[in-house]
Amino acid sequence: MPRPTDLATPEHIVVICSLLFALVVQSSLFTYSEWMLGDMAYHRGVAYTMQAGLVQGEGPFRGLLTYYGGLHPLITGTLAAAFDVTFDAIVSVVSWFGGPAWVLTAWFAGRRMWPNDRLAVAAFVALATFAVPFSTDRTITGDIWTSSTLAAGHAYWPIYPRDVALLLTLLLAAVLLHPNRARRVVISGLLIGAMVSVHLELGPLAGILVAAVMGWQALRDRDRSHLVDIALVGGISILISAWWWIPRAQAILAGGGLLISDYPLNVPLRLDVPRYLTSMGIVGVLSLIGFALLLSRRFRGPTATVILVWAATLLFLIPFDRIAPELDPVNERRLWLVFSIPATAAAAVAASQIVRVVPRGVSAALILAAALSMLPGTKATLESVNASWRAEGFAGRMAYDPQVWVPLWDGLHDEVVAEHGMVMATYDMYSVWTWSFTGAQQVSVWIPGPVKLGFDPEVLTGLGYLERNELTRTGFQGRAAMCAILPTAGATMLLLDRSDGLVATYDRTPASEFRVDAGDRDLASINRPVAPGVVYQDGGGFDQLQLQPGGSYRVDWVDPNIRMIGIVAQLPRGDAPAMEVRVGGEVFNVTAEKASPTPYFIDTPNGVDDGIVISARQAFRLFRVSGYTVAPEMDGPDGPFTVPIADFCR
Amino acid sequence: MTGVILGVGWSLLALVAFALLLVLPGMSLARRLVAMSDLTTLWVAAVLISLLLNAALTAALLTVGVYDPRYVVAVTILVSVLSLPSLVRWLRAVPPPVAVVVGLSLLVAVAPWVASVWRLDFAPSNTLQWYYWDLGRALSTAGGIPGTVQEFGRAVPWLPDYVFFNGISEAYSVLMAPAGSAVAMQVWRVPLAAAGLVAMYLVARLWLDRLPAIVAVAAAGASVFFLMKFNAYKPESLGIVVGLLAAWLVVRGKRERNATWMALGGVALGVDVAIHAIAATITGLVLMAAAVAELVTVAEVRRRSLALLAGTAVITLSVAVGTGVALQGRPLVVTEVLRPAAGRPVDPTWTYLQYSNGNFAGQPPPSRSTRLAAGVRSPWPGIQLGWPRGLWLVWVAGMGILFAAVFGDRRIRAGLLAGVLGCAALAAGIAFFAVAFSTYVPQHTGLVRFAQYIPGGLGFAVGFAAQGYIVLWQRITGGLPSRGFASVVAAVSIACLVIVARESYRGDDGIPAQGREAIAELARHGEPGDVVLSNALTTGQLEFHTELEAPLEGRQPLIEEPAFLDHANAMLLAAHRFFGPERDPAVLQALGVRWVLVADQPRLLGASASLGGNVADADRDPRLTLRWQGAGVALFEVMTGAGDET
Repeated sequence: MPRPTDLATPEHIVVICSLLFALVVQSSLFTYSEWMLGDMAYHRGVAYTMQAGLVQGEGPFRGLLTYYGGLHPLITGTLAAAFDVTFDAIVSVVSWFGGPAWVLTAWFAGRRMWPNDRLAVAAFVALATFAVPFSTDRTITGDIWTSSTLAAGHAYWPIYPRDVALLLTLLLAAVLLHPNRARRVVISGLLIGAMVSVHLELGPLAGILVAAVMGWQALRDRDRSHLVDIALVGGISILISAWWWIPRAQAILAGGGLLISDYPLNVPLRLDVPRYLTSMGIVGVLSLIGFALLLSRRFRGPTATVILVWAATLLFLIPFDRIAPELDPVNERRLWLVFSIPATAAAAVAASQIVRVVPRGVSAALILAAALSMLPGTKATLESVNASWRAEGFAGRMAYDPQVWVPLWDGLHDEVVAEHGMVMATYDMYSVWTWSFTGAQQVSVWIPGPVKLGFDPEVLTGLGYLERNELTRTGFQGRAAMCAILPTAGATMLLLDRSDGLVATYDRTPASEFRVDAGDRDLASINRPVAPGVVYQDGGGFDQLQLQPGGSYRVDWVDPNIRMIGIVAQLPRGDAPAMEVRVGGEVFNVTAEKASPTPYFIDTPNGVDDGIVISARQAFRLFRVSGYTVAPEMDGPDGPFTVPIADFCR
Repeated sequence: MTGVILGVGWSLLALVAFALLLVLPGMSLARRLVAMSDLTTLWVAAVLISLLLNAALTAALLTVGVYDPRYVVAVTILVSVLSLPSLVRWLRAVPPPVAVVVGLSLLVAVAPWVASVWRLDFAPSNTLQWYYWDLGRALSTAGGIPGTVQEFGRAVPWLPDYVFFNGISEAYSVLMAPAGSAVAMQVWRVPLAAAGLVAMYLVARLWLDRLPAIVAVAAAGASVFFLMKFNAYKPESLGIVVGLLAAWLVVRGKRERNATWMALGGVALGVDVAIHAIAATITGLVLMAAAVAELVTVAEVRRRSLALLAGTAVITLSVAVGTGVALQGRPLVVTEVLRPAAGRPVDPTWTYLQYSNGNFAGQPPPSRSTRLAAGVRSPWPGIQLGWPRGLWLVWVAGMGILFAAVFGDRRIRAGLLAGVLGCAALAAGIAFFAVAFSTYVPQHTGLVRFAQYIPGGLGFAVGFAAQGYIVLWQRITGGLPSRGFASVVAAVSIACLVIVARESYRGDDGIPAQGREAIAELARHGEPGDVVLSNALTTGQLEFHTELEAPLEGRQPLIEEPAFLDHANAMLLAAHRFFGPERDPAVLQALGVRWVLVADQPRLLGASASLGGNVADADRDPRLTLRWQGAGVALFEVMTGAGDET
């Protein structure tokens, strides 16, 4: 037990300040959200399928094994079920402690790395907690928060699987320095196994890093026992993560490969020296001095070995992502993110040495300058964290009234859990978000950026991505088509829209017919003309048709029961009509009501006898077209509702 | 491959020409001033003495009105021959390993400049180098200071600002005659770049160890300052080299208490004012800062040192003013810059700059801060500094400089002080021009021309930072970085310089084949005294290649003589109206145009801006007769009486 006076050492002051910063600031004042999007939308969907008994976790289609996920959604999903709260609630609360956990891990690792150098430990904890890039770029390909190449940037709320893996990686660095061989080997194996079960990219990467250190030691000491250690660590990690990786390996071997490529406009990170220094901030600057010092004789030792071998191994791997990005499972951004751990350690060595040799006044000035230069990045990170979770009620480009949707999705989620999983059909616009908020798997979905299919659905489910899109398009063409087609994809439940006593039995996302397979999404495919005056645009989170003046889109529905047409479009504001809708002989000119995507309704008391033609008088974006038909037995309040397909088709 | 061989061959010839003009003539006399053991000082003294010899010869011949560059060349070759024994001794005195390392490093460092002249078809486009060349040619043709030259249809005084540069470049053109003027102009950059890098290294070595000095040179050489100043045939690069060498010799003279060296440096700096006034002013500021730092950082200031420095300053000013009065028609060029042209709601110089860049929309000038920021925001190609993205540079350079200040010895601290004082002087210069004047040109001198030197200063700051990290390393580890580490850092620094410079020059476009063909056709059809008008806003290439009069290829409006400035603006506007939809032919008569050269894209004639119009429109003009047509370019002859209707 430390004596009370020990608490006053600079190391303890730094740790306490870091813990407070992590708890209060990095949690963004205990942020709480019940409407998490981004990558968390995917993890939530997976967690809910796990709650339903699909322990391996599945994507939006029944049988589609997840690639990302593992212990993170399994544990959060289990906790949510145990406490009878939502996934978001559990993640919100658990994430408050993610930052402090990172600080404590850094402290533990620091003590292991520099048992006799409290100054280096303090510097390591401080840099691992407070470091931010010299940037305020909040874009997805920018430098801060979830895009940060600094591990410190990932301690902010909420905690993703990647963040857990990073914490375990840091723990691994400490374990590698454990003097007891047996513990070193066993715990390393356990940690890597856990990491594989949390993150299929960072886990194996950690295995490579451990093997590199032990391999280097074997080479340097001409001691084969290190090679035995590698085999033991590998064996343990493979064994304990087998539950997770074997099904995935089987999926890959079954053909189709991985479908994890990023949205094409998200330019892959390629760091050069200035960008490294920008992205790593003060850690980057100090790390260059630190690495140079660690290479000198004075600093040689086990800690220097781990830091330098990790750094060298990661630098060796980076060119592979540049040469063949499609073959490299770990992208450059992630490699730099892991690199930030040895970089932070090297920076801590540099910082502690500088503080030792420069006069006190200069040290104080440098620390103050460092603190000040971290302010812009910290402020931007906090703004980014806050802004990302305030858009409650929006998903993709659409507004979802939480008052309506949350109870509906909660009820649906309960049914999913009770029935041990469910396949349902709903309109293309709703399907992916419905899966994300309920775990109810879908006939088809649009795949926004975070929802990566992982594996080819055709191989694992028998139906390809485009085939499923086609099923939804042809399925939602009137009640008869719905009842004939949607059950063939396993759907047992419907989620439909009701308005003025009418039900949308016709529905189409016009962009859906121009989608390409998940693996074929590239720069050419995401923005391309598909007809005169009509451009298909894949915006990542949504897709749409951009209709230029004179351009038009036709829907070939013919049904006298269609009494109302709903069109979701984003029209330019102004008094002049932007959209012209031709139904039979009648022409309706529509003027913008709002600047955002808005549903516009047109009554068609005589039904639709020759399709619908939507034309642009001014350029606008077209998202969705629906046809509402009479369904007296489905009477109820306006808004979305669910109905078992068996009842609907009775 | 032929291009590579020729490019290297012409580069070597240019080096020989430079050696004959600016190294060898002074070698013999330099031997009397500097001990053979001090090889570097000997070399610098030889260069500056050679320069003075050239300047004196040129000035004398111009004064008596018998100037011919061949006389200058004959004398310099004669003196060079007399210097050969000294050269041989100098060469023998250089230790072979040093010669190999220095030679190879320099060869690698200037590789991008040599590579930029590899292209046989390459003719430098869209710079003012044509204009400078024509200034020199006018000097040779007149045999003395020319009375006037034609610009914008009027006779204006010949621009004497670069008179010694013109003298040296004319002598150089005589030596490079086998290569032809265009090639000579291209390869000029090779010896200048080599000299520029060496001069920067010498200045850096006044305060820094070898490795940080190499880092400083690489960082400054890869900066937009050096890449922009040494990318073409222009007086400023020569002015920078001379200024830096002069400053170096003065500081060395002060340290060694050698009044002769200081005087030689002072005279050379005075002459430098008539090579390029801005370069001389800024290197003079560097010298001033270095001198003050030398005085401040010694334990005891000696009166003799002060007197010598003051004397050097007096010599510099006297030479500059003497040259100005004798040859340039005013004591100092700054008196021209200070000429007022404003007092009107719209700055006519800004209007001129807009018109001469093909912009007739009447945009207001950008703010002073915008103009300043544009030049310093990207000190190295591809690196954009901003808040907070530029903080990395502040940290890398700032922390190293801090260590240099904390742990460095007197020499390093003197360098840091010189840097601080130099920055302050430069900032004061920028502020003076930016604030004290309301017209574009003097503001431009401060905000842009002076500010262009800031990236070079940042390069030196990086060198000081490297020095700081080395002393920090010594403090922490108790030893110096290993020789291998130092070699790697030096090699990486030079590699960075080479890569950045090569990439920067790779994009240089010459005049495309059809443009060269069109200019050749113009030269073939034209007769002496003919006037040519082009819709491409060329900067001297038409006059250079055809020796015809292209009235819009002028630069004298920037002197801000109000009446001439208004006239130039009126001519540019009239030309725009002729090529534009109005097709107003007034300009044809006003300038007495016989030939009209039209390009669909200005780049076809090596220009970046256009007055408007295209070949098809011109072809429909009944006042023009097509004489020749290529892809996107056509030459028309003006029908007699075409402009009379106005």
